[in-house]
Formats: sequence, C-alpha cells, structure tokens
Amino acid sequence: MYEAGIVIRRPIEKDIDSLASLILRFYRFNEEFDPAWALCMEADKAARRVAEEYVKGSQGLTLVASYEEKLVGYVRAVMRENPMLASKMGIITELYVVPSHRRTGVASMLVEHASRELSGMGASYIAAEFPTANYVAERFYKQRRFRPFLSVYLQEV
Amino acid sequence: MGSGREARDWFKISRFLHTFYKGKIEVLPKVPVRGMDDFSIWYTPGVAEASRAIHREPDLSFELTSRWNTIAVVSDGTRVLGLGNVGPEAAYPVMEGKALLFKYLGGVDAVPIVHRKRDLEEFLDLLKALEPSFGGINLEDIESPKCFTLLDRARSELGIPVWHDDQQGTAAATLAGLINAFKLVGKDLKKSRIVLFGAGAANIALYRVLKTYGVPPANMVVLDSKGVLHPDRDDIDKLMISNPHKYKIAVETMGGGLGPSSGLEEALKGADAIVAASRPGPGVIKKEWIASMEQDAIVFAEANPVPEIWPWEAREAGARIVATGRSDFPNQVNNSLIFPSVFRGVLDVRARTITDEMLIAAAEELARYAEEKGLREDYIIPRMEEWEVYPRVAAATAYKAVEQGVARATITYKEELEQARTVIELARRKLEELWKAGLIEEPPEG
Repeated sequence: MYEAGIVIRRPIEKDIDSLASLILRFYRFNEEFDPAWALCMEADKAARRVAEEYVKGSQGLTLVASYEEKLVGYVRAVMRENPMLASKMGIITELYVVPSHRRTGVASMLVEHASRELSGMGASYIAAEFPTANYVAERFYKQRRFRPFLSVYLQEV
Repeated sequence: MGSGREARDWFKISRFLHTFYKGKIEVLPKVPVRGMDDFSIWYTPGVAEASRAIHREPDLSFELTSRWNTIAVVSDGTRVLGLGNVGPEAAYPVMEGKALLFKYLGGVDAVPIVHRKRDLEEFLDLLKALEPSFGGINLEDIESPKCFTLLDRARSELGIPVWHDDQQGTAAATLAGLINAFKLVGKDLKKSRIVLFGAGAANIALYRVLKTYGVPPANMVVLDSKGVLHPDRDDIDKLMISNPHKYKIAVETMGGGLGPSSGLEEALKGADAIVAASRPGPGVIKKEWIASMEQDAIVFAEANPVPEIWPWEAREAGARIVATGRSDFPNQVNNSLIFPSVFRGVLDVRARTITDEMLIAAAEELARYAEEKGLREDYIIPRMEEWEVYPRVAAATAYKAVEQGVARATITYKEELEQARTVIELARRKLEELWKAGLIEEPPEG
C-alpha cells in the first residue's frame, strides 16, 4: 500500500542536511551486518559532503521521498557499463526509509521511480548492492523479484 | 528501612533450610500400593494396555497419565531473578521454588528442568522434544531479547500452552493493578497517558497486553536505559536487528509524541501512570519527576529488592496510588496471583495455547475480586493468602480458552471454579497432612 502524500523527486539545496542524516543512517544500518562497512571517525561530516554531491546530481541518480516537506527516504543509483557486455545496468547502491514510514510502500516507490529513470538512461537491468548479511535488504529485493546475480568475495589484507 | 538486613536474614535461613531438606520437591505416587500385585496394574504387564491405547490415540495421554496436570518449568539460567546469568545449575533452586508455588497455589505438578541449550533454535528443539511429557511449559528466567522470540515461536510451534512468566505473568498482574488503580482515581485507562520505564521482558509484554486491552499505542511512552523508544533515535536501525520488539514499540508509539532524545523526566510530565520495571532503587525515579505527573498519579515501582522510588516518597510527591513488587508494602504486584491459576485453568480444559485475551481475562478476574472486596488506595490487588482468588482466576482463564476455541475440553465458568477449588484444596491439604503427621520433618532450631 503506497502512502498517500509521498512525493518522489530529485534533492535540492535545502535538502542537504536532511539527506546527509539519511545517508548516515543508511551506512550505520549496514555497519551492523559486516565489519568491512565500519564507518570512519568523521562519517557525519563525510555524509554531508556526499549529500552535497548528490544534490549537484553528478555521476548518478539520487531521488528523495518527502512527506509534508520532510525527507523520509532516499535512493541512490549509478549506471554501470562494461564494453564487453551487450546491456547497460543501473545499480541501486543506497536505499533508506525512516522507521516511521516503513511498511507503507515508500521504499518500493523509490525503487520504481529509480528503475524508470535508469531505464530512460539506457539501462536494461536494475541491480541492488548491499552487504550479504543484510537480510532485510535481501528480503525486500527478493519480494520484488530481484534475483541473485553477482557474488563479491572479500578478504582482509 | 532495614530491608538490607531483612534480606540477609532470609538468605541465611534459606541456605540453612535448603541444606536441611536437600531441595524442596519430590515425586510422590498418588495411587495405592496395597501389595506387590498392584505393580501388575501400575507397571508391567497391565500398563501395556494404557500404552496401546495412547499409541492409537495420543491425546489419551492427557487421560491415562499424569500429563494432564504436569508442566515443565524450563530455564537456561541466563537471567535469574536479581542474579543475572548464573547458569542452569544455579537456576535450579529458583525453578524448584516455582514448582512448589505451582503445586501449593494451583495444584499443578511442575517439574524443574534446567539445561545448557542457550541457542534459540536448540532451546526450541528441546521444548518440542519435551512436549509429549507435559500439558504445558512455563519458561523462566531467560535472557532478553531471546525470550521474546522463543515464546512467540514456541507458542506457535507447540501444541501445548507455553508461558513466559517474566513476560505474561508480570504483565497480567500489573494490568490487574492498573485496572483497579484507574477505577479508584476515576480515570479511563484506555484514554490515559502511561509511561513504561524499562524495556525488558515485563514491560515489553505489558505494552503488548495494554495494546490488546485497548490502550492506543500513541498514549504510551516506553523507555529503556537510553531513553524513549523513538523512531528517530540514533540507534533505531540497530534495534531493528538486535531487538525488533523495542523497534516495533518505537514505531508504533512514535515515542509518545516526545522528542527522540527525551528521558524519563520529560516522559513523566503530564503522565497519568508509570509502570517501572527497570533497576533497583531507591532514587532511580526522582520525587520531583513524580510531582510533574498529572493529579492522582499512579506509580508502580516494581524493581526488586528495592523499588525505583520508595512508596512514601512517591506519595509525598503527589502519587495517589503506589504499588511495588514487595510483600511488605501494600499493593504487591505479584505473579504468584496469576501463573498457578492460569495453568490450573488451561490444564483443566487442555488448552492448546494461552492467548493474550486469556491473559487479560485472568487480569480482569483478579481485579474484579479485589473490587468485590472493596478497593482502597492500599488495596488494589488481592494478597497471596486470599485463597479464593486462585480458582476464580483459573475459571476465568479456562472459560476464555473455551470461548476462543483453543480448549480441547469444554467447561463452564462455574464447573471450572468448583474443579479448580477441589484440586487446589487437595494439594494444600496433602501438604498440610504430611506436615502434621511429621512426614515432613520439622527443622532443628538454626
């Protein structure tokens, strides 16, 4: 059930603080699942810089969900091209919705809007990246008919 | 108050008597043994017929064996009352004490089982493996948040009632007290603002029960050691993983309309009631915070051995009704008024589960009993020695189980009242007769 009153749009200058907070929350959440996602000491400052970049709109797609003028979620995606492959791929790298607006369809709305935009940019496939142990994300994407596609293995050096 | 010295005295006496009696319960046959021939009935060859019948119809185990009246009191010893993670062996005296209460107050045969299966799945497998021996399972002193998932899954995956007394027993006794406290002050519990301080087993269960009872989540504020459970709290996503029960409360209550970094002081401003199940006091709740509550404030300070605030301090600060977990103060919120009776009721109707509605029925009956006796500010909940309470609560629980279709046997309220009264009185009488006859030895002066 999609929540009435939710607006999906690109972020603007005045969203930077709220977007930075959502970005920080997204990374903090994923930190729970794998030590390789441990945040740096000044993650809050980094989140603001990242938010500024996202608002500029450079190299990728960022969409925010707002409800009554307040940001309640965002999605970040990038296009990935491989000259050897026939198809372009849009990759969702970050997706976050605040707890009070979860289970209301906001995340689905963000993914659907992002998929449409990425398709318009030439993507034939949409993928999503998240820590392997993040069962919340796994459940979310599986329910939306995403399938396992790429395995990434990690080693500490 | 000399509570510290009193406690030390109890420790000393208890240690002496535990040594003298070498534990508290034993297995005593209930059939006559008139001669050796009787063993051909109770054991081989005659017993084979009982086994054959049960093999054909497993539910007959409730009629041909003691299963109908026997429950397991199960603990992994990871959160033993006031002691913490002391391990299964050290939890045994507590489970044995619980078994004594079950028999004496509810006529229920309870078997203490302590074990080393701390892992959730292994614990659950153990319960499933034990199911054929028992008519019910009472979980006890299990660490949080494992206890929540364990109870939820055991309730859905076993065909006998499973109860976690630290959750449901405390929640039911507290609800009974709240019902009467609100009646006395002339407020509607379902329209009042209630603060739950402490987000352990007791208050998380109480939250769920209050919600089922009809209190809107937005009227409640729940706090853990870090403050108000709020969807905008910094650690909220961590909670979603580590304690989904707290997370759910944060989202449902929206922090009771407070800010995400609010503490107890902010939460109590304008509140009608607080139920504290946090850490031993005194001084955990300050007098000035109580003074900021609404008029006729209700304060349940349930920490043991010392409540979060002394009752007289709470009253000096303006609280009208104060309850604690202690027997030496008025209004003791006591699980023992609930669990023996609830199991008496569910065993008598062979219930498959104990629903929250059955728990509420038990609480309402307990409250009703006190109301019939005459509510006072120092009497909102019955005392343990009011014997008629137990069959009354058993009857209310059994009747609700029948009404909800979770009972294997049908019984009326009145029939269960009589049956429960008979079984409980017989259990007590047997113990008293053994004592009078000198078969329970009198301890030496110590």
